[in-house]
Amino acid sequence: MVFIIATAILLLLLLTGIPIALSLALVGVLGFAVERGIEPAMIMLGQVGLDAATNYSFSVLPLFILMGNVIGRSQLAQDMYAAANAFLGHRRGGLAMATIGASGGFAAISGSSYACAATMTGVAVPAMRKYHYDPGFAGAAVAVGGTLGVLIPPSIGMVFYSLITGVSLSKLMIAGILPGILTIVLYIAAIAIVTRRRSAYGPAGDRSSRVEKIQSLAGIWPMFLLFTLMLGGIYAGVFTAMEAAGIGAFVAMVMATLRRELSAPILLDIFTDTIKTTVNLFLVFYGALLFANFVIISGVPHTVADLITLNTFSPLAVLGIALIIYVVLGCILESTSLLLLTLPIFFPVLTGLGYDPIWLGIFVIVAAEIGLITPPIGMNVFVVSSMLPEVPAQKIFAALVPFLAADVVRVSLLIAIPSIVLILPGMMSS
Amino acid sequence: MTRWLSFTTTLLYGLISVLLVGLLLTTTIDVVGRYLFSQPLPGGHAMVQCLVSLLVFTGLPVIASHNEILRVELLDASMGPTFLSLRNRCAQFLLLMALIILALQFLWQANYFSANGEYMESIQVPLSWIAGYAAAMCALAAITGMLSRTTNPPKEPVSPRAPGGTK
Repeated sequence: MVFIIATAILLLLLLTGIPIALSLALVGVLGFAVERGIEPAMIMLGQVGLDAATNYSFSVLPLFILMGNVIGRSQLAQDMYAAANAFLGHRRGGLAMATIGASGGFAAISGSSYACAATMTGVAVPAMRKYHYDPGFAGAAVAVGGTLGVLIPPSIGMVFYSLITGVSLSKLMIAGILPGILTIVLYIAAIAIVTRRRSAYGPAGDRSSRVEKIQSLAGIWPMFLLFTLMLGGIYAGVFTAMEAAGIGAFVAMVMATLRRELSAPILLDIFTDTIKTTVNLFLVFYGALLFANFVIISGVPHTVADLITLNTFSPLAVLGIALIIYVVLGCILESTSLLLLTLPIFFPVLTGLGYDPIWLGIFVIVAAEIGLITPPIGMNVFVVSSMLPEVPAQKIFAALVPFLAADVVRVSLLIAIPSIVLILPGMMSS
Repeated sequence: MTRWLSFTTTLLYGLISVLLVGLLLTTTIDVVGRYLFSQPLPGGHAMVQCLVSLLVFTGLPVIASHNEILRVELLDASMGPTFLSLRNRCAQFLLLMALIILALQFLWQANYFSANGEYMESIQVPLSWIAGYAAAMCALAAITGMLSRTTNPPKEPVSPRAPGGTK
């Protein structure tokens, strides 16, 4: 009963716009105090804060964010789009396909969906406008491309999944590679099908010569270097994810310096953005840990597990319910807060039903990511729409239908063939 | 008052930059030393832990003074100015209370660590220093948050960028 009232208060606080971390902390500490008393709740408040701040695994976060910010300020996104465009732009819907490809590339060095969507809006939409793409369709391509940011490693969502559940971050990152590629392929297929039926949605662009194609590749070597260095290092067992974050951020800084893209004011700007994001995520993490402690002592995971056993729900039905909850909540909360809020309940229940923790990590990240583009309030759509005031969000939502169909196929494939997620981590060096 | 606030935030930005560069170099030197020279940085892990905790607590007064804390904007567009004004005041009050309580709790933790002589292993940094620093930064965050609201009150009603999502 206490948990139900606390959850209702939490949702009320979140919806009225009280800061997420504060809402989680308030409900977590008060709920704990009701269950165990004020003094233990206060001791937990201080102890959990210091434990979270001195958690070695948390160090990966400022370093990945720093790397993403350095890359975000460089010309790399433009270079990646130019390369994808050189190879795909001449096809019907080719510029939208190039947007998905470049978003995948950008996602491979940045961990945030919003950053990915915002950056690619500025890079890809002007080119699609030039070739008279349907504005809603162009916006939809950028919005779905942005969702790759949280799936393709490095991903901030994966970092928090690992922090909350204790699942190896290195394995999670490697596990995200194939589902990420699958997503790119499915989105490109969706674009091909749509533009085949309605060619006005995405007219073909100019064909690039072989020389132009080769020249376009020259601009994207830093992305390949970073991606190979980090994920190659993790896969081969040379680095841990934490070490890869440090090396990745350092190499990104060196490359940006060599490309003369870093000045003192830009650097200060990068540091400021990095710390603001890091502290905000830390606060949400801290709040979520306080809330998780309350969830655990209130015995909710056990109660839910008992409920499932009593009602003989099949594991697939429970997974389906979880998927719906993630997609609905994903419309309101960004993926990190969503994962931190829900994992204390869903992780023990779903792993108890036999789902692999690594597979589950990728599944919930995919589910949260679908929420980012689901009507009526998919956040990525509003990120894109706010940068393109002449394109109403409704138009983008209407054009998202084929991509949501691709997502249904993707989720079905992930459930039917778990090896898509598990094969690469299974082959990793220990 | 405004000059003091501006001086404090500039100082904090400087400190944050130093800590970030320190974190970056510590991690890189540790990894390069470990894999290329079989000689990891002594106490590298603990140094990283220490730097990250200093970094997040130093950043608290910065985001408190700029009121840039993540929140859901879902209903902002459909709420009137009176509600938004009331909500903002409530949020500010709750944040202030939370920061004061946190400062006191971290201070209590610092005393506890000090009494028990607890250290971060391998670099011998007393845990009481970190807890004390956290308490000081929470108190500073409460002060900068309050001052920034007094010297530069938020324009109301807030005009949300989008009818959904988080800020």
